[in-house]
Amino acid sequence: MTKKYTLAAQKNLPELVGWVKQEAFCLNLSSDRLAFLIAVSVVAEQELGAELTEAQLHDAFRLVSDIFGQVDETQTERANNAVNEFCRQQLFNRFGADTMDTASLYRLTPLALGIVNFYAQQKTYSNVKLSILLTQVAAEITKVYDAAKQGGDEQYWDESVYSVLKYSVEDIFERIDLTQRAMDSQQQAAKDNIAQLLHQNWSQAISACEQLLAETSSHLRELQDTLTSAGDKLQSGLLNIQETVHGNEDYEHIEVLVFNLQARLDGIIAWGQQSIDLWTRYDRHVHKFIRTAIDMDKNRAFSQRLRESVQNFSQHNWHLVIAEEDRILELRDETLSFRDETITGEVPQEMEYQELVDIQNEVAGRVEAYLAQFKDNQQPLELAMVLRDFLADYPSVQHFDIARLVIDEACKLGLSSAEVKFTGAQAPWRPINTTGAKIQAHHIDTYDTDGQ
Amino acid sequence: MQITDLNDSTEQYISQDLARAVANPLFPQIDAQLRSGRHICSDDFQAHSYLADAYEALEFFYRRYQVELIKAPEGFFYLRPKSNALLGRSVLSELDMLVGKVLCYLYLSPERLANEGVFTLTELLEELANLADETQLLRMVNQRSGGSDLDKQKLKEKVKGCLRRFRRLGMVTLIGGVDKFTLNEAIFRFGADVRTDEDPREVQMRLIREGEAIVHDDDMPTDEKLQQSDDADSDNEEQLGLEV
Repeated sequence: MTKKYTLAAQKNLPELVGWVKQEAFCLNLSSDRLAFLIAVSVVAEQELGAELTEAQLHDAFRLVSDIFGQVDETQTERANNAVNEFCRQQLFNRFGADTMDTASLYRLTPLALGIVNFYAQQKTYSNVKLSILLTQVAAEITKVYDAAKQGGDEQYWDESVYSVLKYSVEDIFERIDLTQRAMDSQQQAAKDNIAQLLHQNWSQAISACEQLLAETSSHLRELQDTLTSAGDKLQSGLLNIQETVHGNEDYEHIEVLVFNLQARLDGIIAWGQQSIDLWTRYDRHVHKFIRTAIDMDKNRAFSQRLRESVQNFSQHNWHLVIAEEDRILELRDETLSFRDETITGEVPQEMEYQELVDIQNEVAGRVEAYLAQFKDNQQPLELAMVLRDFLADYPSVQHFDIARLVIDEACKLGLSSAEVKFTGAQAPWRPINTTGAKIQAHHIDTYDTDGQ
Repeated sequence: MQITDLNDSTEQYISQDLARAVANPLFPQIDAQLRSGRHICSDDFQAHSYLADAYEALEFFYRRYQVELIKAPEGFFYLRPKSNALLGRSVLSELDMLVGKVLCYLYLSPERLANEGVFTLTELLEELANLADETQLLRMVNQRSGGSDLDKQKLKEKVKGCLRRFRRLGMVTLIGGVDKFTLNEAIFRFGADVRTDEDPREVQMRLIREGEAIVHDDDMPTDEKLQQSDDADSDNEEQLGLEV
């Protein structure tokens, strides 16, 4: 049963964007079109049923077209274009164009009404209206609470609690929200006004500015007082309703709704506080500006002279002197020189750096001396045997390097008779260490004699 | 209670005010900031009120380093090292001066109200291009500039560098990166020559005499240049007279 009330799954952001793209929604309102839309809405207000015929639309268009000084000749065509475009942009709904005898009727869509309201009715928002809305919503919430306390069957709850909350309270919250947004724009307008005033006549503008600032500040403060005092009452009213339905599974949807309303109310109250904070900051800023810039430069001559001095900068010939302590970089250089002594001491013999080539030469020398015995005695040199003896003295990680050195040295001594005679016989593979390394080599038995 | 009891053999006394000022926990940081060229504005409430209270004592303190602690008419404090100062000193470059002047102009402009005093780098560059001669600007970046986009990019980088320097000097406050900033009163140092309707040249001479500024050299000032101009401070004044 409660499922019925859960909100239709809200679209997430990418889905929404995709949806707009897919449907190719587009709004395009130049100021003459906007004027036309507002004109139509004014005409529609005077009509019973708010329906408009094509002729009325054309009349409205003519009026706008005249004020905008557009040419008469193309007027009908342009009016039709505008009307069609508005239908396409979902600003107008068109009815009853299918039969011959009834002309089409047009009605403004909620979208169009929203746009018109934004421009035409902005001025009507005020704190008076906000307080009326707050009283209204307080009354509604009390009513709901009373109904909730009384209790009843499912239909009773739906009618007296859920729908009132959903369609009355939520709606009023919506309107409060709109009012607040409109007031944001008002503050912006006040700021623009102040900037405008100061642009024109500097010091005379001060009092006007201060007045504007004070007015807006007091306005905001009043509003905030209204909001906080009403807000507490509303919040406790909502809390009461929540308590009544709490724990009852059938009314979970009401609980969710109340929770949302509470969050919304918090948002409304926070808005008030925030706009006061922002305005206070702005207020302080303007006062400081008046105190510094305007007091310092009453008739703006300083600005003017500065301007000129920038323009004639080629004649400028002085540079400001500033204190600047020596860079930390230099300090670091000095500290390094302090430590130099401790770094350059005597290094123990074992830690002296040795070049790899030197080590290799030394090992090669030892190998050479060892192998020379074979040559001197004219013994056949069996590499595998020699290597096995040699490698046994070294750790296995060095075996490859040592073996390479031994073989290099051995090759320098002479050749194998087998190779000299080109017998083509394969030498046997023999192991040279315990981890399975093998070499394939003939005995070296033909020693070079030219070295002797 | 007299601190001077400790060394009554000397004639020099440390005043109680100075002892109190130096003993203040704020002193080391403010001292370090001032020595690194920072200007202390009224926005820096704590440091500013400390300096306002201890001004006379500290003025005496820094004078012994041949440095003046200045309280500007706009209310901010800074150190002005004399030519024989024991502390390091430096000069601002030509571009620094130009950008500084434009910022000073912006400080006075009603534009400052629009975003509660927050300016963007783009606005500054626009104002620069608007007020100053573009070829001259680009020449500061590249002597043989033909006005290419590359040079303009370079100019932008240099201006960013200026902003960073001014931040270190306490003249601007950066918001986030270098792209947004607010201005502090200390930026008025750049407007010193046109602050009153006196002849700017007279004022320039006075600034140079007071050690507030040094005379313009054709090249960008370097430390060696500074050294030279230190040695020949009086000569420079005469030269200035000739140039003018």
